[in-house]
Amino acid sequence: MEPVTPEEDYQAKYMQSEERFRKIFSLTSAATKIIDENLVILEVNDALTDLLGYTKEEICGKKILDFACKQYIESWENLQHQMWSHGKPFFKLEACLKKKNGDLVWVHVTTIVYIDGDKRFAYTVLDDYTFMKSYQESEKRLNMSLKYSRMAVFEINLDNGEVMHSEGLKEVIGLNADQDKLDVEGLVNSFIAEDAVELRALFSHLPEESSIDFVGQVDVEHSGLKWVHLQGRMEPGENNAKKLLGTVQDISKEKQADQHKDDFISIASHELRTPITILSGTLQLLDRIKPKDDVKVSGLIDQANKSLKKVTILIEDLLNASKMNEGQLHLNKNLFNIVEAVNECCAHINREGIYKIQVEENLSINIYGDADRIQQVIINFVNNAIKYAPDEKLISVKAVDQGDAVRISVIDSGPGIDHEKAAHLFDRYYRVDSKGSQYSGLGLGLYISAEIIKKHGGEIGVTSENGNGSEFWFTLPKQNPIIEI
Amino acid sequence: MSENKKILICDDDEGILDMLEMVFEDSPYTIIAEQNSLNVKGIVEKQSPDLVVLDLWMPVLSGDQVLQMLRKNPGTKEIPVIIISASREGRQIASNAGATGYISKPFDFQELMNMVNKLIN
Repeated sequence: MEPVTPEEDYQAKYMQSEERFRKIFSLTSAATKIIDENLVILEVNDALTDLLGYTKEEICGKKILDFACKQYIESWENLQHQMWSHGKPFFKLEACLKKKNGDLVWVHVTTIVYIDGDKRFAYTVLDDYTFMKSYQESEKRLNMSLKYSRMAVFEINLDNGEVMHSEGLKEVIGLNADQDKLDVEGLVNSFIAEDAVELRALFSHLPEESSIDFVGQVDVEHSGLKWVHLQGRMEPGENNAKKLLGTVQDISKEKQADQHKDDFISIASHELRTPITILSGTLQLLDRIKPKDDVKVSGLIDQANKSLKKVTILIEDLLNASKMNEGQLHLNKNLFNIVEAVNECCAHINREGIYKIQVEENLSINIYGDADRIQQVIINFVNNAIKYAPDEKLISVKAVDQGDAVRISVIDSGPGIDHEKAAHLFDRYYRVDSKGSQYSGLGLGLYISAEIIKKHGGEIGVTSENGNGSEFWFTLPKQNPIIEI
Repeated sequence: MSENKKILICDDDEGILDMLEMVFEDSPYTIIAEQNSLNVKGIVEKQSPDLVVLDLWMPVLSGDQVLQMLRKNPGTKEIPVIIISASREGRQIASNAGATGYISKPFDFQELMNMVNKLIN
């Protein structure tokens, strides 16, 4: 083997390192280019051709600014000038490039100048952060759409009370955005005192209860109270961490619309009562002056009276339902005998003779409550039984002493109710639409009944099976109920 | 035979007034019908009716306000007053203001007649 001169050795080493550099240059996953003093691209690696979608041939000989998005050209040029003419060793910037297919790609640019022989070159790494950028953009979009729906999302760590949340959360619950980091106590305390007590109690039942659904008011400085709906659900976190994921939403507008509707109903039904009073009085007068043996006139007056009664009940229901929504259902409470009250309100139906209401009672229990309202519930049950089980002429009403409560039930042997429908019976405006328009009414009766019983601290429900009749029942506690209005 | 007992009825709705006048047509009472609640106090003082029937919701001066005025005045404070109203809270408002009787709209006029008979005799 021929001896190697030092010069040749140096040459060989140089070639080796040059080769190593090229290898790294071409294999590195970061998009890289080399440019000369005139900013002309001399070399690019595969990562860069992948990034831009152009071939090596299409890129080499051009300048990187040929690919840059317009809004970055000026600042990029400026930085290049600083480096090439004012001796800055490198520069960095964030910019966007246009790919061959027209898509944009976001890059962190780092350019370093180096000297090879007597010439200056620059080496540039273009680090793709498009994914990050689109993630940031999508987060921004999410925050925007949350903001437009007056909503925010949160994640609460129940172990340490930490709250992570989207941008607008503090705004929704009426806190200043620049306030300290929010914890669960801060979230609860943003609600007005009485609501905060209730919400805190709900939180204390987590995680045994798996979700939270709460509507309350928060006090916003300078703009008064607003309504907030907070919902959350327990989600398993890492290492069994107890996490509540949920949303808060400003529902003031919805509440206001609801309020307007109720105000309207309240005023409209009140206004309707005056002409109804006149109608009813006129009919009573007509009845008084009619010729005694005129069957036709009597029949017409009866017919008019029946319709009038229906209209009156509808208006009463509307007014009651709107009042209930305003929380204005006032109870005039007194001690009264529940069995007497049951008998009293069934008497007229028995008198009419078409249906027979059989009252099974063997007890005398005094209840503290609003007798009129309780009778309203019983009458509603009985009327429903007549309405939905018209072929059954016997309806029984039972009163049972349960020790600390009394249970009243109205039983018919009609067609019964689907399990599925039974679940919605006490909802507002719900109607069992079993045979189309045969059943008139607004679907408010049971909703109102449920509100009345709840306000008395009792329970209400239905036991029914398709084909086997229905039992509508409610209970009333014997002691003064805790729930007061 | 003594003079007919007098009943003053005040309701801002003409229809109700007309109807009530008709209701009491065959009764042994003389009806003074008034649509404007502002005039009630003056009429009561001048004509001293035996009973007053007031609607609750009336413009400017509501029935309970009229009632309170009557109750404050020694000359009129004993007069029986029936409040009629279509409002659910009517009963409470009426009793707070010192009403002798309360009837909710729409009413059975026999019911009103019975109450009138009871209070006036």
